[in-house]
Amino acid sequence: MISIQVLFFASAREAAGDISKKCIELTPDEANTSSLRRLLALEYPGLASMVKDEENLTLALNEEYVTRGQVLALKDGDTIALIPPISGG
Amino acid sequence: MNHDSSSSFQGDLKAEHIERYSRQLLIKGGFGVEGQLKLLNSSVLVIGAGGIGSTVILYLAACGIGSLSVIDFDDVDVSNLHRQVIHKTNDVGMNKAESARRAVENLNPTLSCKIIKEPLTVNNALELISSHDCIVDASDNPQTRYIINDACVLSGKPLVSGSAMGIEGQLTVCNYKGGPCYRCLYPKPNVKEGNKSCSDNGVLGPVPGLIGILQAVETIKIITGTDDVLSDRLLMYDSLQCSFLRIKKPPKQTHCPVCGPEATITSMKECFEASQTARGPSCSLAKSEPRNISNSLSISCTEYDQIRNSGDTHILLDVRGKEQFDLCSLPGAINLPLGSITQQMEYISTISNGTKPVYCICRRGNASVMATNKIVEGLQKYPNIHSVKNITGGLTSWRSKVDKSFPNY
Repeated sequence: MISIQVLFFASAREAAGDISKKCIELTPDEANTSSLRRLLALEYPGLASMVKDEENLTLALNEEYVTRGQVLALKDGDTIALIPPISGG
Repeated sequence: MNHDSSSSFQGDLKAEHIERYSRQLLIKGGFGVEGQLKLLNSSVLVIGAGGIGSTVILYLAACGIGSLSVIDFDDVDVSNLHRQVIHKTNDVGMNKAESARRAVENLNPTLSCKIIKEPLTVNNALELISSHDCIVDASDNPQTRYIINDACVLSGKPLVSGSAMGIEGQLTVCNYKGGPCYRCLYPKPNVKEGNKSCSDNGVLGPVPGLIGILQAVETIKIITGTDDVLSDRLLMYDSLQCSFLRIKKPPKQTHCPVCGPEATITSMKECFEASQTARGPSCSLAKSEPRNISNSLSISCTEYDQIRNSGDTHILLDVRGKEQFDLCSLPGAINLPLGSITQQMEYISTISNGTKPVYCICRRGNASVMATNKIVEGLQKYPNIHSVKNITGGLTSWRSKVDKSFPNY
């Protein structure tokens, strides 16, 4: 198993039930950004519609955007941030 | 007062400029006289004179942007004042752009401040944006953000984008020297974000203020040609953790519908079509269309007031979120947020006990319609629920028609 840190921001935080960070364990088979999206959708049903859609919720891996269409491998100690837009002003 | 948005200053720094701007002229390795002249000769458009606009406008005025334009259609409300610090209590009811101009003229009467008391739309965006050097997005809803972005791309203007909600804020510079635009970052409006507004979700006062100050800094850097403008990163600020995360942005996207090589948005007309799905509430216009419900399932606030006064036993379900319920509620109301109604049908059945009619209320009468409909759907399964009705217009209507002393928020 590998362990990664997931950071929730803005509406993603709210949709996940006001969680700002969570440590998630992944099997070697699941250690990629695409599987992570599926796992997050299962774990947080309120977040599912957002996290499943790349155009709706962007991921950043270790403070760098994951380009749409890209599936990146995850390793122990990685940090994933969920970044929805904020519109208020 | 010169209201032309073209640059208002020519020639060398005058004594009054040296005196007023000396502290920034003296910054070691700073932009000096040349930078100050660039600021004095520049024009900046700030879209929105709300929480973010408040500080960005004040700092841009203070630092000597020669020609500052502010667009806002909205009026100052007392609930704005905890964060929109450019406006004062005496300004309540005044147009925000007008109130902002008064503050700017008090702060720095040497510059030109032009105001537009209208919403920014696809019809006026391109003309306004193309006549300024740098654009600051201090707006409060997704649709306006896409309109601003598209007009900036179409007219080749750098966009300093800032936003805030709740306890968080974001900042980035878009469309700067070939960098990605707002649509590269956020190709479509977020499903959840589109339904949010400050009036429903709250915002910690200094958070938009800080984002506005950071936007002022980036604007100064763009105009003076300082390196390291925040164009390749998105700054995410979490006030409770006091964390600043700088996320490396992707490069300009080849599939971007507005700035990519095969762009499909090449005019504001196409922007209009593409931004229809981005409609969301403005912080100040969080009034959605009333939801449909049959007349037989509705009662007015005044009718409900009569029921209360007659002493008839009944159940009042307040379906707002707990934060709002804690602010103010009608005596005797039971708080069951809309999202919990389906799980609480058994409980509703128990307290109604076949004898007490149930009335649903919320802030404006939208969530309560949905709650009423949900309960109606369960009536067959839960025959002990006596009956259910929606109170039209919610507590907003209660305040205006029954009890003027009920808090407005």
